[in-house]
Amino acid sequence: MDYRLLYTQRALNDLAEAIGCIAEDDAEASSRFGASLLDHVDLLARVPRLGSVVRRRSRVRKLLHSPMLVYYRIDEKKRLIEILHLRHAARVPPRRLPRRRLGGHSPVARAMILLCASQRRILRSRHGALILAGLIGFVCGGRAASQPQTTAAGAPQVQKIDPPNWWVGPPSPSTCRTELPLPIGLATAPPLQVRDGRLGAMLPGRTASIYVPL
Amino acid sequence: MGKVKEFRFEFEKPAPTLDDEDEETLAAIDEGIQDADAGRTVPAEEVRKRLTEWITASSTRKEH
Repeated sequence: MDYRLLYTQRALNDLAEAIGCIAEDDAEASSRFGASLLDHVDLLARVPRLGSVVRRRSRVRKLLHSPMLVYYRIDEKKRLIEILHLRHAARVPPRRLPRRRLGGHSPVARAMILLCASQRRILRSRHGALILAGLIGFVCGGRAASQPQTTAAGAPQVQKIDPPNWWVGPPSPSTCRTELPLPIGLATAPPLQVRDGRLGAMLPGRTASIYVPL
Repeated sequence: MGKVKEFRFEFEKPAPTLDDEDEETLAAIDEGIQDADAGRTVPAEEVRKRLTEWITASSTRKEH
């Protein structure tokens, strides 16, 4: 008998974010990737041990659907597969960001990169995330007031950055991205105004992604 | 004389992968475990339905 497949809320958020990111550029590609990912995960219902064991969480396994890693656990008694978390396999933690990459960027960009790389602990709390968002708003507000905003053709490249892991990936970081935990009860069309940035994928009552150009 | 096998495959106990998960990943996994334990889960069939909604929402937001 096949196992029953369940997605946790965390996994749903991860999936929605990934799909939303791709859909903003190419809805068709997003649909294809989403369907193939779900098809792959569906295989677990028949072959639960398809994924490899996570060393530091022995009851958790991971399945690679490039470029995504799918973390899951098996409940043998209930015949359940629970999808716990989905993650881009190419993510680079901030501590691995070479210092030399900071050279060649403006002082504001350098400050943002260092800020992003040091926010992991702060962002673990909701209040910390809000404080950080305020800081970013302050920095970006100052930047917007002092110089004209670059156009879309000005080559800002979107880098994937997610809390609680603010980080900037290679090769030329120009955009910071974060998720803000939304207050419970805040539904769609939130009164969120992003200055010198833009609001990305949003899960009502959960999180909102915000892109801030460096 | 036959060669002695140096190891044997244990399919029920697969070897863990060598690459370690970082702290952020482990925290996210733990969050997923908490969701699962608290019953905050959605069946796979429902996820397929939501997939279309997410794509439509993101595409629409881009147009605006």
